[in-house]
Amino acid sequence: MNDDELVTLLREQRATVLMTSPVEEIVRRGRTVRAQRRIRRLAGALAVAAGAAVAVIVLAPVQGTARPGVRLAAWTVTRQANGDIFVTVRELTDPAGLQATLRADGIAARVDFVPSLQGRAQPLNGLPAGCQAYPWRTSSPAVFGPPASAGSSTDAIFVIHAAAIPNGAGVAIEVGRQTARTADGQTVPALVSVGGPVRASQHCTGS
Amino acid sequence: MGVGTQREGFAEFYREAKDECLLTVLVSVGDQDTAQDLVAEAFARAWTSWRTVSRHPAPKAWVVRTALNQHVSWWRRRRREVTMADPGRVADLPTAQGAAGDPVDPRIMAALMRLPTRQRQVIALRVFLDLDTRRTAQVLGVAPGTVQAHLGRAMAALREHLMPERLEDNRQ
Repeated sequence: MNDDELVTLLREQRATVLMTSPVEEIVRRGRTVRAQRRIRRLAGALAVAAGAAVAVIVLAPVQGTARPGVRLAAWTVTRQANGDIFVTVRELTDPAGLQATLRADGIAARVDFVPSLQGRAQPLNGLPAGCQAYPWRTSSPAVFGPPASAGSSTDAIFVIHAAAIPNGAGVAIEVGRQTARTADGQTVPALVSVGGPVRASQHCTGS
Repeated sequence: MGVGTQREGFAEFYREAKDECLLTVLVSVGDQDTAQDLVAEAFARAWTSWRTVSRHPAPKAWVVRTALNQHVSWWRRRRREVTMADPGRVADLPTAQGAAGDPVDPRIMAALMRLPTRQRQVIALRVFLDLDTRRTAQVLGVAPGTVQAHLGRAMAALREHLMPERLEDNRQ
């Protein structure tokens, strides 16, 4: 077999591999990329402006609430008009209560607070005990992530996109401590969250 | 250029380039689901930077390089968390690591997966994406001579893996 024949044989594979995501999916994904870039830029700008120990974790001010949030000192849950659920965690206290509140809001949720998420990043790495992975196409809309607009805090804030959770799926969430570094090199303690889809089950998500 | 025109231009580029970019990244990383995710993310980034990417001399190369850089970042993060097999060692395995129902001919995929990572990437960029040596070198961050060397070794290895019966005839 000479080089030309080999190249022809290889190039025949080009007709067999297809990218299945529609362009609308890509554009929607691009919005998330833009939002994350805005968050990082704003975090940097705030750190420079304050010139002190400022949290790098950037949060969204809650807007347009459809009904009053459940307000507790350790965490806050608020449902938005579009069905998204904003969660703010200020202290690692009462994960069972947060889990129960999310479940009461119709989310098949599993919530764990862990001492440290240092070195961890999305997606949720490993599964909580009793949970099974949900066969998730990463091209599907995200069910869990940072809010689209930004503020500033050391709390953990995340959004659950309830409408994007398919039947049979739930969300497993971990919140823990991580140190963040400001623009001037100082480290500050912060809370961060990681999350991902799991199979909904009595053992894992209570449904 | 209005947003609508930009969107049309991007959509056309996506339709024309997506499958080739996917195959290129699939051959590089060895896993269908990972490749789909990386390529989708790379195209999403291309859309957010469309003004720049649309003027790039080789936009497909931009997408593939972005996807491969994402893969490196992803593996570096995962290594801090758990001990994982080095993606480069996928080449040591006798069979492909693709998901069930991988569309690439299994024999060809297995031969590609036997190659060291860099040789596999050169084959993917030169053969599947049709990039020239200079552009391939830019995407991979190596010298053009290195690309030529990898290509030569990869082609020889592929020829040997894909046509063993022909080699037997030559040895007799």
